[in-house]
Amino acid sequence: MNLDREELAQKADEFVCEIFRRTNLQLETEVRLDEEGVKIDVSGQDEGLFLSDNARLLYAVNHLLNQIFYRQSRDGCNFFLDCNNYRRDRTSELELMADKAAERARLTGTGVSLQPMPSSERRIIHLALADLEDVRTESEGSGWHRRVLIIPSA
Amino acid sequence: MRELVESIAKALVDNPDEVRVTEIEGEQTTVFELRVAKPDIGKVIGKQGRTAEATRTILGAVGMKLRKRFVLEILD
Repeated sequence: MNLDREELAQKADEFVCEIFRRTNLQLETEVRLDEEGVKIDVSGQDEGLFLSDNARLLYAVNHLLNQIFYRQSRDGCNFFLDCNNYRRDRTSELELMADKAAERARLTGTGVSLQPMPSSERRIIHLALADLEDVRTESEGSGWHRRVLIIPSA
Repeated sequence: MRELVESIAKALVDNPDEVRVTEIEGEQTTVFELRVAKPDIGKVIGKQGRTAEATRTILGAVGMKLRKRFVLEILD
């Protein structure tokens, strides 16, 4: 299949709505397109469940979207689910977490490991600290346990 | 719930007609056995099992709402 972005956005939205319907989750979607890809904003009564446990459910549905629809796209379209500005708020939270951990690594001279996170969140940490010369970052562990380690470079 | 597993699997594979889901219902736990065409097994499991994991996460969330446990088994 070789679908353009409007068709993909519509099919992805239908898929997400189907999951919500079949799971009885009281959630609605709003879909839009921008230069990054297809954005689907989720809202409704079950937001709390959707975002619980570091938004496990949000990331799970997002993973399925990418698996199903990326290969149907002509030019490699990405999909981003969001709910209640979770991604934006989480980004600032992660950047703050990264700064604090870097400070602690510097002061103690030992590696500091953060809590396990999905790859998209680890990426934010790596990027936030990429320009610092006195610490470097690595990921360790596998699957749901994979976490960022911040190491003083001295 | 069987339909949920079926829709997800059918969307992931190249041969949706060969997707079979059987439901084995227990008192607290319901097991879903998923069978797909051989070349499609990788698609429902995913790299490092991430796609299977995502499907299980969705089942887990619903299970929490319904106070039931759902198990997904992928058979070949």
